[in-house]
Amino acid sequence: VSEAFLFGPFRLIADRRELLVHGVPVTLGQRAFDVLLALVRRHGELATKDELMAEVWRGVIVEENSLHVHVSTLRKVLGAAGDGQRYLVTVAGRGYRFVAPVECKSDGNDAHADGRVPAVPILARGNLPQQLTSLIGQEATLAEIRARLATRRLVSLTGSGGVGKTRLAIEAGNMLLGEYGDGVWLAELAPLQDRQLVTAVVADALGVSLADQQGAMATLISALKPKHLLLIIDNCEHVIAEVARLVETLLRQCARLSILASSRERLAVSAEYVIRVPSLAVPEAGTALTPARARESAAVRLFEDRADTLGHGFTLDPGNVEAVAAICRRLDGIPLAIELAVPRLRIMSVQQLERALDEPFAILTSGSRTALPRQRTLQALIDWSYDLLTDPEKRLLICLSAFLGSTSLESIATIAASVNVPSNAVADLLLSLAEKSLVHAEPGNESRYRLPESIRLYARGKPEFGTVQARLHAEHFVVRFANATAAWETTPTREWLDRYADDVDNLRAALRWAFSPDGDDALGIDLVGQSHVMWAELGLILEHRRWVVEALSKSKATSCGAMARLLAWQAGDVRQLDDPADIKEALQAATIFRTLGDAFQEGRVLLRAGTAMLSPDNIDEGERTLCEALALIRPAGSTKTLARCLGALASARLFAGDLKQARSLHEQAIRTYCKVGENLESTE
Amino acid sequence: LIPNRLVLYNDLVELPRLARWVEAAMQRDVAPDAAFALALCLEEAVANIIMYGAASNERVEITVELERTVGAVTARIEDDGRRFNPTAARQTSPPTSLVDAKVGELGIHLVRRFASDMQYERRGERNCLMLRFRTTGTTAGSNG
Repeated sequence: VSEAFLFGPFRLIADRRELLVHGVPVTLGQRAFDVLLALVRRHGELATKDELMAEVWRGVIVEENSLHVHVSTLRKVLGAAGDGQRYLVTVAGRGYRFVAPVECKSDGNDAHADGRVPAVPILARGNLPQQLTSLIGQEATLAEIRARLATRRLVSLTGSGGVGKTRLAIEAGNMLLGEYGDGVWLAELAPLQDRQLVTAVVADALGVSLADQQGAMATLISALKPKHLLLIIDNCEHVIAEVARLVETLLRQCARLSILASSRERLAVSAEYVIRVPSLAVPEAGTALTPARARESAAVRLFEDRADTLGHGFTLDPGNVEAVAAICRRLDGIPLAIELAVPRLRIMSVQQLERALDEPFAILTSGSRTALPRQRTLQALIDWSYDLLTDPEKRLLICLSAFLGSTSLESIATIAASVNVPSNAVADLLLSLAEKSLVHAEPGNESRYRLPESIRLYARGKPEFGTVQARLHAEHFVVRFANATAAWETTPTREWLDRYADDVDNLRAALRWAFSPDGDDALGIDLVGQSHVMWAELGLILEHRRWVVEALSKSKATSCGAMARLLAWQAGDVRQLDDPADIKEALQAATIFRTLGDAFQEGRVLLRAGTAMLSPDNIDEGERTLCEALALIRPAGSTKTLARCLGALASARLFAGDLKQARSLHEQAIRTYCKVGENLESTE
Repeated sequence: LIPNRLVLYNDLVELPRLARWVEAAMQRDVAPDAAFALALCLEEAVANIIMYGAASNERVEITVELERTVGAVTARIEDDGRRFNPTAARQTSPPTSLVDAKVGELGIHLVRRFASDMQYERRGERNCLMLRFRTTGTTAGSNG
């Protein structure tokens, strides 16, 4: 018998540890789930902080902050249902109360019988990220996107930074999931710095592996041709010409493909339908406002929603409605600007916030309060938010702008430490930046952090950003990918990818910097040398080879002779296997690893050489090399490479007709794989 | 009854499942030595798909099917990963594209040595590899 709780569109099933919204599972961390369960079980009553912490953390001493983080995650998840219901109320200084009506069921099995929460099977495929906050005030634009995509195959969303194009595109994608048999796929171009890789990044987002530059487009076309899908290409502005070319070709060749692009400017491709994403509507000045009248403006609704999420008991009332309206007008209804301003309500009243905002704009407009171009409004507001940060927060934000895509806390802490932000303060500082909407925290087993694109570009433009941060970033990822390569040997691949795959954007950023004129070729060569497994596991052959070639070209100018020869072998790793040069290079690399005293890597390349040599007509030489390899690999314990080596030796014995030994070696190989596989169960 | 179809994911740690399944499936009607060679060939072929063919952030499904007929076992290995043709080995000219390069390591030698037939086909978005092994000591009437 399982316990199930129904509230709004949600269903929480205790023993399955599952939260469903409209029948669809919501990703929620273990702790956040426990906090929610504790709150729901006490619905209507006050749950004190002490009670919650005792129940969820069971004897582990944690800071109150941790609870706060999970509660704010829950607010976002519950708020994302968009049903306008209030679920959680903060009781100042004491705890929280779950205030929505809850229906309890003792048996989860009849859950669907009452028809309240129909299970919606997700048949469509895609890669859209989950959204934590609700989209407010863009209903009309959303409806227009749907209507246009029904008749057009290319729709572009244009608009200035911070207006919410990305958010809108993803929301539209989610809305249209059922309309495309092969799903909705998002290619995010913001982290892309190299215009030559536009096709590669789009292909990667679609799960299409490319093998060479010449055939890239043809491969992508043949993969997409039979598909009925919607491709969302987000943040095209910095590579717009390449995107335009790609889009034109794909649409011509793939009859059932539709594309939704987002960009600050239009693609200027024939058959493009441009939708300009407007700022949110704001209340007109000079009219008498009631809260109800003010809520007719989307900007006010957004302000109210985000203020409510703060959990400081904000309500829109006749006393503050004028000030709220004035703030929304001042910020031109730009969603990001509103999200940056609202968190200040933690420390000031609405009226104080209104006055505080006058200052940055007064400087810009010489006090005339005339309208600014939207882009400058946002810029001024980011400036204002930045100036209000403490020094460590500023340093951390600038550090964060060195990263691309999302980043783990561990990586951030390592680099922050080098710019005098103590690593034990990083989590608190991140939380504080997240509360100010300057950083987005992404839920998951391990939280990752990401800067909104407008903020990242701003922070990188600060004079404090420079080579120091870029170098620290590259140095850190040399170490992280060296660890990743070592961990790959003893970790099941799925788990390994969960841990490291998201860092591929950072790998690209580090390589790009290292091989730039301000960079450091030696660091770049190290990065390439340490990231082979990552490229291989992600199937990014084309990009892998590109970096190897670049590293090889740079190695001539440096003194890294040893590294260059290793790379020569690694280059062989992406070449024809039966090429005799491959064996020669592998043996050469083995010699270098021996000089460096790296027995495991020496064994690994000998295994490579040995398997390439081994054939039914040439058993002895291959087997001898494999035995050498085994002796070097074995001391490292149960690794994937050891299992491969034992398997190769089993084959050698089978060729020799020695079945007894072959079986014994094969059994050892299987046992080794089993041991590596057990690592999955122990960490799950 | 042993099902004649196994689904694996692109992870080397899946290989023990394949080994156990092949052993169980072949137990009744294939001579132990032939069964062992066949198992090793299949494992190498699948390992190559995992290492060089299926590499992708996405989870790739590899299905293995065995069909027993009198005097032979036919294995069909299919996956929805990138194009990967393990039979294209030993091209005399250097490969012009990487698509068909990087072919199987041991797999190709083992299969050439022990299989009586080997065919690769790219069917839609799937790689389909067919291997046929002659067996001795098959029991008449077994149909899988």
